Amino acid sequence: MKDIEVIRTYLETQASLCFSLLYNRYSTKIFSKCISLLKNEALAQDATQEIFMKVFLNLSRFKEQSKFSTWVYSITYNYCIDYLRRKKKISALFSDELENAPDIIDEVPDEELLQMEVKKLKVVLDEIPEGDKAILLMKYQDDMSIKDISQVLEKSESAVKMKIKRAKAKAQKTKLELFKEIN
Amino acid sequence: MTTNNFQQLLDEDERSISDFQRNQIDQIGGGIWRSLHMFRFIGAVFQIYLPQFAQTIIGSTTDSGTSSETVSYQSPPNEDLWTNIKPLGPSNLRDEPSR
Repeated sequence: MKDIEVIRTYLETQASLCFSLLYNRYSTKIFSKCISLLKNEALAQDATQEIFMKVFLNLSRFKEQSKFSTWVYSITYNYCIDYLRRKKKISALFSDELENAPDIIDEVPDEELLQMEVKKLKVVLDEIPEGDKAILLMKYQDDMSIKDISQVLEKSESAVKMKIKRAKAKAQKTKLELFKEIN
Repeated sequence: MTTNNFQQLLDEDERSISDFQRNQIDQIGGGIWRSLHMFRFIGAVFQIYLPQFAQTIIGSTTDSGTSSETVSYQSPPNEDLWTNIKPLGPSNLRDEPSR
């Protein structure tokens, strides 16, 4: 049964089976994403709870303009980024906010990131700022469009493109620094 | 369907969730379901009783015409303090510095 069919049935019947289906499909994914971004198990549990409460309380507002997964992930990133911003009390979540990066950056080809071994990728993503990690996950893990990402980050699409470019450059630089001996 | 390394990373993260953590995630799900039930219950109660409650309040004020019919003013216990204030006499005035 597709997500959208489950959602429609849930909205009509409020059946617990539909709730369980959706929850079981996404709960471990959401929990993994939260733990990866927040780096704390207890926080990730709280986040999972809050995110699913938001999802189910706002389910009738899901307009089917995007995939359900994209919508759920948007709420997840929104929650985590918001939490990290509040925790740090500054908006310097992205590498370009942390340092005066030059405006002209060489575009890192997608293949550079997409051909990285999973283990190395995990290490690299844990090293770069959380905001950069989040934006790369949105783009490459969840296939979110620039428009979707811009809505989550409340930035313009051109700003998002620039942030992706910088995040890729940051990831590439980190990879070269961490694995230069091995390569 | 082919997955890229980013998606494989998520799969790995999911696989690495322990049984204990899975159990906790299940418990969170149970809690959310109970909360949703509670919200629905409260919502239903409000939907049924709020119009009646509102009618009771609105009805009571419009029927009586003015609120003074039902609300009587009671002076606070210390109100006689104000009537017992003595006029300020010359003895209470501070002496002006002599020039």
